[in-house]
Amino acid sequence: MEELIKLREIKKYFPWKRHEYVKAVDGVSLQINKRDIFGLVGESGSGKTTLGRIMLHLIDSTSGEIFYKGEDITKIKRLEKSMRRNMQIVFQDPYSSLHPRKKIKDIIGSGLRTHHLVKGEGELITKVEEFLNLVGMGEEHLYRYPHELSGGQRQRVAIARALILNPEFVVLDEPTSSLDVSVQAEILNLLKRLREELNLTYIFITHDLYLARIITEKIAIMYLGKIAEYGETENIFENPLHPYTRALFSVVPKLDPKKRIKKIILKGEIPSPINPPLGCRFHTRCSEKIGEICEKVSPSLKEIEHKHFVSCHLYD
Amino acid sequence: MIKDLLLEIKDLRINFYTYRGVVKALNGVNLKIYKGEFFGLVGETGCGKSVTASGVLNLVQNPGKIERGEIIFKGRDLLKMSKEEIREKIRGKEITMIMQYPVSALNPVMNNGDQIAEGLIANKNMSEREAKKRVIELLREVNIPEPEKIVHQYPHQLSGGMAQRVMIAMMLSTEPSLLIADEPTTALDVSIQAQVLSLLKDLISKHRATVLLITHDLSVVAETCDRVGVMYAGDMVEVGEVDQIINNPQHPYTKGLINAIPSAQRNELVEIRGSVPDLVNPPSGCRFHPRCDYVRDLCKNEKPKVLQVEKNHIVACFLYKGGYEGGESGRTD
Repeated sequence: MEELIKLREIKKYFPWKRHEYVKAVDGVSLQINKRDIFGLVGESGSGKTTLGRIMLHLIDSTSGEIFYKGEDITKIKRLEKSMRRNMQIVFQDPYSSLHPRKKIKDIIGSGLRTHHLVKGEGELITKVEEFLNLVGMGEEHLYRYPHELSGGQRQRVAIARALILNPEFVVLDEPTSSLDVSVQAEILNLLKRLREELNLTYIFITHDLYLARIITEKIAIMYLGKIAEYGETENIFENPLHPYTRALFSVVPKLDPKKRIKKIILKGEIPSPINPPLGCRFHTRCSEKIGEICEKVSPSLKEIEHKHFVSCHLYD
Repeated sequence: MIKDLLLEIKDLRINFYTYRGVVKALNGVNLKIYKGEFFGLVGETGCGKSVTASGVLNLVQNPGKIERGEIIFKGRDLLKMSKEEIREKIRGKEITMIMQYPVSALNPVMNNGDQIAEGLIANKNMSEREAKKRVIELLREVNIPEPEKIVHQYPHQLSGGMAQRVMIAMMLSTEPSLLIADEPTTALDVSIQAQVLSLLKDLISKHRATVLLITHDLSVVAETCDRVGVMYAGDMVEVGEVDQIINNPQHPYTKGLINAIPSAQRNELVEIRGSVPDLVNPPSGCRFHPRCDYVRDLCKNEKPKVLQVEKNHIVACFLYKGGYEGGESGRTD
């Protein structure tokens, strides 16, 4: 499988007060292959969104390297336009990510103009129409404004805007979390279909484990800026190894009473990323802590099974 | 076992008079809630679940108007009470409500302790000193660490989970008979959601209260509630015990909803075709008919009556016409 993006020891510290930093992402290494649907899963404050934006070079990382097709893009000060075209994003909230005073055709088509991919308005309209159809909307929407559309339609527009430049990979940052479940199903099925048709690579950011299971092929479970567990989605769901992953699985509300397992209710809340716990970041809430080592030594990601990585001292 | 009826909503109809036209938000909703149960009200955006709750608390505001119906609480029709009577006897005492965003529901310029104490002083005739003592006990009951410190802090200093606990403490302080929880955990992370839901369950059984839980998340209902009502576009389409609704859904909308929820045993999501109708011009007959796979001519012209399909399980759909009769018969119009 062809490697597309590789992250090495990515860190992002946002300045807070004098000599204090919010350690949003703290040493993440990952590899994303072409045509992956890669899930970044975690609760709020886990660093999943920050990591997604770093991959797009929307924010600079504090340290670490990002290889895009083998080239380290952290070295480039301003990303070249041609490279930008290859990476797109769909944001969480379609109510704030579309310009309220622009028509749908301009929202979807603005990238085409920026990159001089079309000559004249006629060509732009043809191209926008093609992509509107692709996301299941008709040309009657071309001259409408975002406020005339429903949440699901807006998200379709956002997807069309991301895809019209023919990108190689798309970061989907909680693309369905502000939608109702029946609309969510539509959008997910659309995204799956488009991946097949257009040969896309997705980074799918979500807090919803079951959603991740349905759409992703690989996932990384994040906690406080670090990866707790990482591997093929099916493996992780069949055999979760990290105590945090297990606790998460146990507390996700389940429809079927038979599928319920004993809940591992985590104590307390996610600690502040300003002064995250030393050692393993999860040790303050972990029910399987083995001793001092958890409080002092930060565990590294180790391959426990084939292609299944865990960072926990239980498996030392 | 004969259960005591606590709240009965009969044919509640609420409209909103907007510049676009009349939004027919509630289209004659019937609902019974029994003492001591955890009742879940489920539906997607705009189905009328929150409007139902504001109807119960008499909080429907302009341009909304309660057109007709009865809300019988402990034998008295709340809609026949004066605003003053509701305020003095019901709201905040007998019926309290937990909101979705606790941080914005709390008063930002009053410290946490005083906010909770306020209700105790006003409704329970406590002295300020007694109230302060009770506040600490209440906060301890909702598992807030260091309550002595929290009472002097303000809502913005609390995390979402903590603020929701403060809210719960406040709403339980007056020992209400009915607690309405409107999406109490939607804004919280799953690990915190689990804490708050299990806390809520424990407290409710301890205080012998009744809960009306409003949520869009059927899985949350499946885990916490005893009975559930499914709403669609201002109609109550199906009511039953949680197990009946989850494992034996009857209404095509309920079936669709369940198939659209990502869960452990599903690898593909099934869509419900079409979209939620505009309630200014709701579809005629059954409001679900434009999206229904089993639609017949009858569905387009007539609103389906409520039928009982099994014990405690009712559904409003023509598919079951002539099915199980008797028992809790429905009145929809």
